[in-house]
Amino acid sequence: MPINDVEAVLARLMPPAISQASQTGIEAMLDELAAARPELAAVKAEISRTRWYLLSGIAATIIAATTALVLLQPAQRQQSSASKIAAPAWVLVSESNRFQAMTDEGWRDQTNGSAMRAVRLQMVGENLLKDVETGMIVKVSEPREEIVFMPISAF
Amino acid sequence: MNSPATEWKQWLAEHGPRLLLFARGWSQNRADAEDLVQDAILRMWHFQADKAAQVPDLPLVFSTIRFCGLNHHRSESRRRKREGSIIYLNDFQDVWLDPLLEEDDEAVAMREAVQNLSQKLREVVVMKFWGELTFLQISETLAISPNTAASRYRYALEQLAHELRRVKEDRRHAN
Repeated sequence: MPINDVEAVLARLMPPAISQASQTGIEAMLDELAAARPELAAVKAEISRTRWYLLSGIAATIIAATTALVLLQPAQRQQSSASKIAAPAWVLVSESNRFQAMTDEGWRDQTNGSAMRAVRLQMVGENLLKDVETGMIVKVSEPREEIVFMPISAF
Repeated sequence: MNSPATEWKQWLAEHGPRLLLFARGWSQNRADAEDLVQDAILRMWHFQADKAAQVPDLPLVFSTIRFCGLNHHRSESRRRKREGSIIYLNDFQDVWLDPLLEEDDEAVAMREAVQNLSQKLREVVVMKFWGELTFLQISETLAISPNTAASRYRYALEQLAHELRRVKEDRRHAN
């Protein structure tokens, strides 16, 4: 029997639904979990707001810097060097890295013939930025993945 | 914008049956499989909390069910050793898959053949066929290469084809 025929028979089978009791139980659990952390409902909106604030902040900084350069150019020579430094719109308050998962990727051969153990790291970099004008603090999370090669000692 | 709980419920309504089917491979009966799905969803909720409680990716949930199943299997083995004298009866109505049509003997035979596949092969078939995962996603879930996942799928289908041929021949001899 060809494999396509087997797949055709498999298509005539379907997994049964989760029982009503179990479905109700899981839904009640989800409601309880959501109620225990009401801030989660606001997180999605906050993420889009954060992105918007960041983009607005960057755009505002560029426009302000360009305007300042154009307008203040004639008087620039007379000003002291200290006054030339414009206050930044956003200040980095804190910076952190958090590991989420680590996966062993096995051994890898290097070009010089030595073996290295590869470890895939999934981490999230979190920066807290403060808007100098409004005092608003924005958290920026950046998930990233890295592969670290570790030398394997001879045995 | 829907609340996270509402989104998760919609996600569960869509994917619940395929998760349950996968969980069947790691449990003794339907009720245990449903507990396994619930356990996995609870873990996924906490895992996704840092990601604005977005609904999880299906391969990750399969992986979590597998992890929960392994844990459950270990504790279950210990419990069974303690309760060695108890006889567990099979529930013959407790099936993994339902035929779409009534009296579809071929589909029923196929269902039994799927259930009788080895765990390694069955997982791949369930994830590929009913879970609709790619071989790459399956390979990530099972920590194997995509080629191995594809080979297991093909080997499983060959076994199912063989089993189906055998059932048909038996039926022909009986008639």
